[in-house]
Amino acid sequence: MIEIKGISKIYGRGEGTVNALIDINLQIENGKFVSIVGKSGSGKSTMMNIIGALDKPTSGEIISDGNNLSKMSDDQLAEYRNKHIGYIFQSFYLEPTFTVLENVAMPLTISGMKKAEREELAKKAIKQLDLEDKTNKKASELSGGQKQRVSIARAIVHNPDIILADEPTGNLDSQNGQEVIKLLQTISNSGKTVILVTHNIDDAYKTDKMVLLKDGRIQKIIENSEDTKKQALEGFNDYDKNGDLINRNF
Amino acid sequence: MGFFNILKLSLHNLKNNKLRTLLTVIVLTVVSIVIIFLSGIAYSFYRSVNENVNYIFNQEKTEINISAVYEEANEYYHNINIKLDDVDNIIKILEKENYISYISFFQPDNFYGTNTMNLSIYDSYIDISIMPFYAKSNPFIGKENYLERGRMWNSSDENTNNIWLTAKYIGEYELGDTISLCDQNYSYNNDSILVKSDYKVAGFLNVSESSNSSGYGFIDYHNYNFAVSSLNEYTSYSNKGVIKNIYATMIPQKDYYYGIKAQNYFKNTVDEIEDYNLTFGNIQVYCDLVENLNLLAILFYVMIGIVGFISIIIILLTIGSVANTIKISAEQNRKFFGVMKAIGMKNKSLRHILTGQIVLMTLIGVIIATITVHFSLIIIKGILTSLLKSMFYQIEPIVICQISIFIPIAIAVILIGFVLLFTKTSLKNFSKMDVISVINEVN
Repeated sequence: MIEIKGISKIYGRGEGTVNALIDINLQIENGKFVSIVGKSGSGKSTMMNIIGALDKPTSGEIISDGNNLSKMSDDQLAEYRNKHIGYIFQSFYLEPTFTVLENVAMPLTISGMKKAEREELAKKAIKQLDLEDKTNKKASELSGGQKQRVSIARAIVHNPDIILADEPTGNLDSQNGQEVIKLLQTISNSGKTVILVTHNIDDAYKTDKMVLLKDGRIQKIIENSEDTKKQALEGFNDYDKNGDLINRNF
Repeated sequence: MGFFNILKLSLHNLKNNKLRTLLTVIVLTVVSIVIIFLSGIAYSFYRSVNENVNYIFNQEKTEINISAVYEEANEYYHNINIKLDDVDNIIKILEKENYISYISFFQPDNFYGTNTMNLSIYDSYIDISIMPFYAKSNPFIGKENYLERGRMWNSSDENTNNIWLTAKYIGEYELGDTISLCDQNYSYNNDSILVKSDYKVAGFLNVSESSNSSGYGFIDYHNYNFAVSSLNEYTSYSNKGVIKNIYATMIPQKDYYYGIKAQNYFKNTVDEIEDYNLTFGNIQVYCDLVENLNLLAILFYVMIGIVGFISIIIILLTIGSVANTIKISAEQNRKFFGVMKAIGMKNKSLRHILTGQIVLMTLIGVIIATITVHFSLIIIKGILTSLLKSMFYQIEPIVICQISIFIPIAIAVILIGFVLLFTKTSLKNFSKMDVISVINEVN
């Protein structure tokens, strides 16, 4: 369970102050597939960074399975991320000169795991993502969809509790994008908490819970089915009568 | 993160920009070669001089009284004319002894009225030519005796070289001993040394039996060996004649073809000295072996100073180059490090990776330099040894580098240490990079 209590994040001082997040309260249950949706500047990236232990809130607390992330040091947060968080970036960011195996095993390398052990786990994750034939290929030789799958494999190799996917379909075509979302659903179904940050409403509909952010505040939290979500979005300024975003992609 | 993983990532980052890495390694290699070579010269010089000095001062000196060839040499003691021919002759005499390790002779300006050729042979292994040095005093000072009222001869000793000493000398001399008698008013000319004669002790007189003649100064040089260029102190004696030049040239042991070459060597030396004398006239410069060795020590320290100064300058320049390379490498790999941090790498590990790059480049440079210098010196040593053999017999060239293993290790430690010191703050700041901004750049 991730508990976000009264989180605020302020950047800058004086006239340049930006309230990225204002008094956010949220609970994310284990094993849920949650999306954080909003336009650019809504604060979704900031929220992701705080949940992902990359940043600390200016005020408030975030407690993840008993760990108070607000009070941890940089090294403790790094260790926490290495053990409990799996990251999926929009641009994948794989090291192009490393093989798929080396890229996937990177979180385990950082944790100090022995080579034989980490290669075994990495191969397992690679197999899960149907990339066995690419194991020894350099990351630079892969297509966009394949790279994103490698990125997902890297995110799950160390069996983290939370997967954070930051616009994972942003650089993919729709087909690959759909595949990625399906993969995330599968991962979520295996009991992991998956948090999807996106401005793609179609992707967001596929999650268990949608958290709508606007101007640093939670506008609405919508759970259940896609239809429920669409209905719930009616009347919101940014959404048309069908519950679709007026600009589908921000 | 484990040590080998850190090294692996360090190596990976170095490979990311092969050209810059290669250039930096080349700089480190060249710098290391220069420092190793210079240090080796100084080290080798120090060892050679030190060993030789220790040998001289710690070994048992053998003063050879060349009794076996004394009589033959004796005739050269008289009417000595310090010319090249005499040098030849002296060397020939000594050749019979089957070794020469040290030869000295001196060329008096005003002499103390006696045979001033003296030979001292020391068993020495210094294979370097001590600089010509000069004594400004008569080495016989304090050694001469005045013949008390003795008689030069008895009537039966007429036309002989017999001399009767006063009873005072009983015990000090025995019958048959040879002493050199010189007149108080000794004479000389510029080209030769004139002596009175050698006298044989024929007997001892009671004082009352001695004549009232004034004493004669004599120097018993036959039993007198003094180290011309060694540790004896010389006293000034300016008005009775001054030994102008004393040359000591050490030539190598006999085992090698020293004969003709030794003569040539001496001839060249004498030629130089002759010219020098003419130029400087009566300038007296006092110097002996101890001073020469002290001078060598000063030379050594000067050499160390120069080597040290040059080394410091080039190390500082190298540090700047390496530090710059690391900073650029860090910036180039910013995204990589950012993502690594995002997935859990600690600041310390990031610093270790960058440190690993410094260590790897430096070690590669120093190792290549050490191997290069080592094999180069083998070649240089071979060439120089052949060259010096043809000039100075088979001697160990003292300017040949010897590399102590500590020199490359010290260089590596100094370079790594200083680079880390200079880059400490920037690496620390870099390791605390804002991961979020990097992630945003990535995305």
